[in-house]
Amino acid sequence: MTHDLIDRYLAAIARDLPERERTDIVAELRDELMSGVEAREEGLGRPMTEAETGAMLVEFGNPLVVAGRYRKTQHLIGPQVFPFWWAAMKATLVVIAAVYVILIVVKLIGGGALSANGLGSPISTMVFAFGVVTLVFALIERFGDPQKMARWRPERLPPAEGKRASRFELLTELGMGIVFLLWWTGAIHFRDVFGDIGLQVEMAPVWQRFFWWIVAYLVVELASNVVALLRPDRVQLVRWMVIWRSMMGAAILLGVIQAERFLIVSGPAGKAQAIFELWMRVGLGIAIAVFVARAAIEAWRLRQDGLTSRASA
Amino acid sequence: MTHSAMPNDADIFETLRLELRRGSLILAVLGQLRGEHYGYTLRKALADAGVEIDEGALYPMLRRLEDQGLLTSEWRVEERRNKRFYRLSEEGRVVLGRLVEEWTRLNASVDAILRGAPK
Repeated sequence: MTHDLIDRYLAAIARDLPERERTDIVAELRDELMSGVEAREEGLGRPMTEAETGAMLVEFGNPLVVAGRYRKTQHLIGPQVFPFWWAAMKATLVVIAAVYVILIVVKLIGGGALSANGLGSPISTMVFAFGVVTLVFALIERFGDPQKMARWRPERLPPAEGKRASRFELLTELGMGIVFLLWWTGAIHFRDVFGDIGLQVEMAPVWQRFFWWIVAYLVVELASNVVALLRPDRVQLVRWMVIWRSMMGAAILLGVIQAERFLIVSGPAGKAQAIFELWMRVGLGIAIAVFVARAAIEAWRLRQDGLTSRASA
Repeated sequence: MTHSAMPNDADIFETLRLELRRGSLILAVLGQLRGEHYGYTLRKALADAGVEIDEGALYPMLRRLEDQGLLTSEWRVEERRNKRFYRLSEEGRVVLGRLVEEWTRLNASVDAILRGAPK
């Protein structure tokens, strides 16, 4: 009777052992358990009851745990890889959150039903991203070289002082840039944004003329954010990229603002077109000012950086 | 209510104790296997010497040490049952020697720190 319980216990352990070693390990564990039973029974002067055997097995350990200890891999992501997994996970989730916050804001402004084709719900996207990031790092843990990943160069550390965008800002900008690029290239669509008030809004042909310029601008913007994230030491390069892209943005919008019409609005509201055009013109003007200001600020900081480094040298 | 947020002192001690023991257990096992043992008698011998180790940790450790070439093993029938006997390999002997040196040095250093007057 008591041996039946031990047989069942060993069979349960065997199921989770690597096949190559299974027989060997089970034989050894059987000997250990039987030696224990014999020693106990000798002490008691009678056979052990089933309850006593059960208690002994509980003491020995959960079959999954016992079998698990023989496995070479004891963790999915170990302590060496964990900090990198965590950093990548935070960055990924911030970018995704930024993307969805923008989508939600667009939806709120538009008031209509938002259908961003090609994008799932925030929850499913987050869960999917969590899975992908974890899988990648589990593979690095298993097949990669965590030592190599931890290698770093002190000279690439960002300066301790000075105005720089925080990682959160950079990731948020990255998220916004991605949404905009996806929308601009037609990968996602916002439909019926103004559907509720019966208006249909389309872009005027002037935007089409600047299509590739705007794509180029977005690529430079994404690139500057990626560089700023991955190589925080390249402060100068990033500043130049921001200056370049801001000038480019201002130039594009200066070209666009020349046009007579920016949007083609059709629908029952007659005055809407004029109001939209006015808003757009004001908006474009502000955007140009922002671009120029951004370029100027970065240029000023570039100069400041130069002065500080000369002063400390 | 107030104590629930505090980490349990007993838990903290237990975690630290386990961490402290982990490395020394390997040393004890390798040391004991200068003579031949099978699992059950090895565990008894260690327990008699004052080093308790549970089966769940011992057997996987033996297997790992054998994979690393520090132990050799063979199956033999004894007391009517097939048993796996372990013993230190030649390589294991060399590694144990070096580990003992390290252990002695570390012990002396820690001892000196603990005995020394606090600065």
